Amino acid sequence: MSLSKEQIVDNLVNMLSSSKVVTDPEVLKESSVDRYRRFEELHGVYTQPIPAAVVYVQNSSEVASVLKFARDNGINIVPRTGHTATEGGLETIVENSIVLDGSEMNQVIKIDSYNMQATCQCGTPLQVLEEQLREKGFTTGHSPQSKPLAQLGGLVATRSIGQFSTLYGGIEDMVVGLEAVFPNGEISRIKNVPRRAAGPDIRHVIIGNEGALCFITEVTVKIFKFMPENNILLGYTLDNMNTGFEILREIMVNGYKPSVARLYDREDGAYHFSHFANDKCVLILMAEGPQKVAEATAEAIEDIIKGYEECVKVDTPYIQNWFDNLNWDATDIAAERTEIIETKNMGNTTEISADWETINKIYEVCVERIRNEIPDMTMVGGHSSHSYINGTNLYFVHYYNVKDCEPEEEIVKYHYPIKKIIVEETIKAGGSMCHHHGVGKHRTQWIKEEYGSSFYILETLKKSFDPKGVMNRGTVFPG
Amino acid sequence: MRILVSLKIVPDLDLLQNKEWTIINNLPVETGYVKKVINTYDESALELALKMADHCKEKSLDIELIALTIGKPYAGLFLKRLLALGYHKTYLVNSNLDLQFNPDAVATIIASFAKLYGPLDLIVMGMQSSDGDNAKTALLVAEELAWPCITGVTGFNYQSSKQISVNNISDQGLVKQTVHAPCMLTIGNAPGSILRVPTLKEIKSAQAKEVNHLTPEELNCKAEDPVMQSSAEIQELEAIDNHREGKIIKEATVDEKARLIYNNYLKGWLNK
Repeated sequence: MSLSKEQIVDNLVNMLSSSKVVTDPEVLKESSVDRYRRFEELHGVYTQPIPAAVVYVQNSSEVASVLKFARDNGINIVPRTGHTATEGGLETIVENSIVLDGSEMNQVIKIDSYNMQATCQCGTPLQVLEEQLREKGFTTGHSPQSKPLAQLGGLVATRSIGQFSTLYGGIEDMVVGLEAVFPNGEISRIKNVPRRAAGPDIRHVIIGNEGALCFITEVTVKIFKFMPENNILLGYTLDNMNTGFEILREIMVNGYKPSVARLYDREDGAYHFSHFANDKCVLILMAEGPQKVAEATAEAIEDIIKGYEECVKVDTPYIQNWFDNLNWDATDIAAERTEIIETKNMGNTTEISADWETINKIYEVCVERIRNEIPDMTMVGGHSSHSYINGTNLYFVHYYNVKDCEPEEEIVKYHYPIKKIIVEETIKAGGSMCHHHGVGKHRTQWIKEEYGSSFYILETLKKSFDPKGVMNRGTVFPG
Repeated sequence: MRILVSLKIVPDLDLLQNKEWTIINNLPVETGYVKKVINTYDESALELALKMADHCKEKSLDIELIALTIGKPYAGLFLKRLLALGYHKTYLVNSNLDLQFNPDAVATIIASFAKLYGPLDLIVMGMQSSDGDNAKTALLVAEELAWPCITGVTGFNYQSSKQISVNNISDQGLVKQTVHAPCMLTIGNAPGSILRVPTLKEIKSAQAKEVNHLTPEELNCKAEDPVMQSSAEIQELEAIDNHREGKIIKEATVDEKARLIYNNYLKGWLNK
């Protein structure tokens, strides 16, 4: 027999203490959603079941106690840290869920500048770690737009990526070891070593699990020397995306590693660079690292781009000013809220990846279909921001005016149909439907198509580690 | 009713780093490479005029919205957006003159436009711009045209073909009044006035509409006129200290934290 909300709260309070178990109705409502449902939230509409409590855990033992209690009583757990998820991964779709919040586990445990690694608790804001590192002349190399807000646990759980990924890689390339707690209460620690070949790399069971398998409590990441004085920024305007993809490919295939490699289409370029884009696509690259490496990388990139006559170089201060204002903080979020409420203009993003041969085809068909099929669009475009030897990503940006519908209908009328077009076209073309935001709860219907015959492996992870299905129901795996 | 909204395209100064607030040889701070936006108060003016147009459309009343700006060619992009939003005509006065600290010159150009392209019933603009910051332009235009000017406006609407209802903030608080056209309104902190966004369909429909380009000379404003000469030079810049002290409360529980805040801060204030 399932426990009532009151029984769940009483048990949690007895297990921890009342100060760690929050049942304030406003907190509970806000904790039933993430940024995927922010249009509803901004209008005070909450359509998801309200959780029983938000529990602020302080250590791995407390996490283990709560998870065991949840497993024994069939209570859904929604793990979270910075609450910046964008794909519905933090929605509490089950009545009387427990939101397990690790944001108070926020200590930088050790910065080991000899072995070049830093260990943090899951609730450490990335910005806090980054600032401590920079004071000592180091960096994580990880710089997602959410850096001022996001915390290490969530970043690892969603396979986050940052703006310098083309040099430093995604979070999966940075994590050397972790600690996680599984729903049976098992606290598992993966040690920090340079490499291992003792069987499969089990870090990847945890990285990207989105709280559907375990709760990440501690993370150790690589650190790098921070040498911003050597950064060389390059910017160009060009006529079309296909040329831009060709340039990115040539840079990557020839072995150059700019940290920033971003290609904006006309629409997205007009949004970010209205003062110089002049209805053109925009290509931005940054070479960094030791001075000689940075200079050689920049010189080689410039040589490659000279071969493309349509590219026109942009003065560096234009790009520098953009670079200095890359990230979103709480002020930006507050401004966005006001704008959405007043204008009803709503924007979202969908990120995918594909090989070089396919990426432009996906770009063109998705933009065309969204323009033609979705009503009230005010902008559809996108950019590539993370490139690899075999392909790149596309970050579709889509804005629309919400008209003639209730707040709770916005997702059904606009957001979901847009995502459907992008996901279905991407999978059809052989790409991946998620590049760095995670699956969340709104792309799970395509998860089997995404994985194909390898879904067996993914499904078995869930059956093995969470046989009672209490970990973030409906996330990654269909609910 | 014919309404002119005068707007200014400004650099988004929030994007400037502290280190970039420097002057060399008394030249203004370099903002050429900073993203441009519609001046916030002007944006409110544009949206409030659109709201009035919505009202007129509902009542089948005639209204013509005109937008005017003075500046460089990139300002045309913003005017195209206004055409998509329903502005009937837009004008860009192409000028390389240094107008940043010369409200007299700006006011002369706007007033000349009003005389040549009038009659107008209403001129609306933001109370001040983020870069010039003089809050004089509207008053100078009104003086030149011998029109009344209401400042601190937070909303206005159609009352009759020659009357407008206006809400504004004065020293006495919120004032609601009905004024006769023609008149000048300057928009202050107006709630609910973020400029709407045109749909792709509206943008496409407006593609054929052209932005009208003018020169100051076509408005009888010659570069050599004394009023057009800027006499202002930046002598020095001083940063405003926005520093605020903060303390981290380290008490273990929420109750203890709340008690400390009450005892150390709130209690004293509440007793005053």
